Amino acid sequence: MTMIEIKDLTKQYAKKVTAVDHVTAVFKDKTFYGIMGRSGSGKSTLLQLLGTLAAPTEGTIVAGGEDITRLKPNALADFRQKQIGFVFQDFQLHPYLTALQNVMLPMQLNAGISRREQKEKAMELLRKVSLEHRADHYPKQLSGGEQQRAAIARALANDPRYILADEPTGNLDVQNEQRIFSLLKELSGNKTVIAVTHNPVISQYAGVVLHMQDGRLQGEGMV
Amino acid sequence: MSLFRLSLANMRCNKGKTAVNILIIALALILFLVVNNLAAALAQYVNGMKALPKYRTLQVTYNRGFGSRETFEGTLKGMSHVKQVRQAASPLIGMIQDSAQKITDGAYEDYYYLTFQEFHPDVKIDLISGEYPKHPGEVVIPLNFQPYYDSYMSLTKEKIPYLNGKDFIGDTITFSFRDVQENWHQDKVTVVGVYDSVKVLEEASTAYLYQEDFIRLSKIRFEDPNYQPTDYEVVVDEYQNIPAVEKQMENYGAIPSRKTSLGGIGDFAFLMSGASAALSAVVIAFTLLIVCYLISSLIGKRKKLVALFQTLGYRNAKIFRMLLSEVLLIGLAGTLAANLLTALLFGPLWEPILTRFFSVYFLPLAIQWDYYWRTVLISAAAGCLIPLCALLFCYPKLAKIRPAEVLSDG
Ligand SMILES: Nc1ncnc2c1ncn2[C@@H]1O[C@H](COP(=O)(O)OP(=O)(O)O)[C@@H](O)[C@H]1O
Ligand SMILES: [Mg+2]
Repeated sequence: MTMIEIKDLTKQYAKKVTAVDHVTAVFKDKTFYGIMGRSGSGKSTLLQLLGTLAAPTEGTIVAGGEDITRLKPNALADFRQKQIGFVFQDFQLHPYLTALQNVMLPMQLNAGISRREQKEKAMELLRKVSLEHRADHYPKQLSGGEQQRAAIARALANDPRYILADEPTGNLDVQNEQRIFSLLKELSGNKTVIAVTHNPVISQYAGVVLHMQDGRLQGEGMV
Repeated sequence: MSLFRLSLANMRCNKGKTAVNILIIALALILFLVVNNLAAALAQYVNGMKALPKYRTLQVTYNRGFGSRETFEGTLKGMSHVKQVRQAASPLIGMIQDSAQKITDGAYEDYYYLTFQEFHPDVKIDLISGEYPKHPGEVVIPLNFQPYYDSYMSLTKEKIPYLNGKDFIGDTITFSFRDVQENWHQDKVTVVGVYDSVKVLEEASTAYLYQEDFIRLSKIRFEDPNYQPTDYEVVVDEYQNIPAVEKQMENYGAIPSRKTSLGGIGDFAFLMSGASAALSAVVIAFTLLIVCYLISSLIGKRKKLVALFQTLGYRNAKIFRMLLSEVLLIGLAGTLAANLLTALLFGPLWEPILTRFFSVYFLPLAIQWDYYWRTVLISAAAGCLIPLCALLFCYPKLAKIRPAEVLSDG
């Protein structure tokens, strides 16, 4: 029941541009989905809808048995905090917090965990992305690949069910690209990972590759 | 990470705006502190003068033109509100004045003059050390002047009487004097007020408030070759009735030698307190506007960061609390800076600034500095409330930010 089912999902901008056009799909548990498509095909918009960053014009998103499009702002925030980890193309790390502090950011919201535990857990996550030696460095002091790994560690902070990545390798070189994709693949061992990209390399890592064109999603497993 | 540390990190994202915010608040509060502390100082001074029961006496000079002394005294006694008329013991009016720095043989020396307003045979002046009087009523006393008065022992440049004149109010200074016949005597001076860098007797302080009267009186005395000064102390039943008695005296042709009324300065103090309240209100309102604008533009620049927090699952209330603690930090920093700068400016920096840049060697009462805790507290409250109100005002703008904006450019 932890899968995501979307039905007739539509997003229109200013009632003119239909960025996502009646998409119906099921994203299964513990799978690495790669969504490919040309620029402007609606990939980011779809990801934003899945991540509750934007509200759909039409349609439903059922995650864990609950229609999340009906949630109120606070419930949405809580949903994002507990269930979703985002990875962005431009990393989106807080420039004046260290890698460790950045990873701790989402944990702040978790009242049940002490500051010490937060620190230990964040350190563990940094170890997972091989960044423990950079824990006290600020984003400026890290390379692009390192920043993205820190961002992935942060996405994992509250052990979410879904990892949503928008062009996670868009700003990285080939070596780092591979590293990030294999990291995401590794994560799909116990999470649903949906990565949006126009990088064909993803087909080597993703379990399911879908294609997006003019707001429509096509591919294997599509309804 | 505490909210505080998080707010500090957020602040660093917009250092320029934060600095300008702090600066604006600090400048406004400096203005606020200066105006209000001066008004409070003046009000306190006036209230102090009014509270002195001695001020119920009025000094009158017998004018030969009036007729016989008996008639004069009788007239005074017959007036309404007059409780008592007595011949005044010739008052010793002294003041200590800084001559500032004087070059003698290329060296700097500090001189303090002990000056007496009047110099008639009753007044005996003693030279403790230093030079002999050159002019009637004037004695030059070097800095190490130490009469039979303990407080002077500790006189330093910072503690010269008129800089901290208020420390001496109520104290009695004992002097020895040598009169013109070279006889030695002793007398006392009580310090009752500080005015225009002068520590004076109660009467003298009023005389100085009303220089015109002093000059007028001197003229009468010096233009009349047969003049024999006889001062009367007229005890008036209530401070408030002094102007009425003065008026009666003027109607009779008697001259009040020193007006004791504080009317002028009292009105001025009242005006000052009104003006300072009005000015403070304007300053604070204006600052609020500027800070509103600054915080609104700060939120504009923060859209992406706010959206990032939203994507991480921060509720808007939590984000608001983060901004709240940030603006409170800005307010506190501004308050602290303003109070520190004002204390510095009017404390250790005041004298050097006046002497070095303005060649002013005296400190008029109006710029005597004192800290009024009420003013400081109000400034702190204003310093925190201004950015707080501005933030509340900008809340709609904050609430409009959507998490998707994390992806927007810029
Ligand atoms: N905030 C927005 N307002 C208006 N149009 C938008 C907005 N975001 C995206 N679009 C439009 O929606 C379409 C899909 O955009 P997007 O989802 O970013 O595509 P992709 O990520 O595949 O490049 C594009 O035509 C884009 O111009
Ligand atoms: Mg995109």
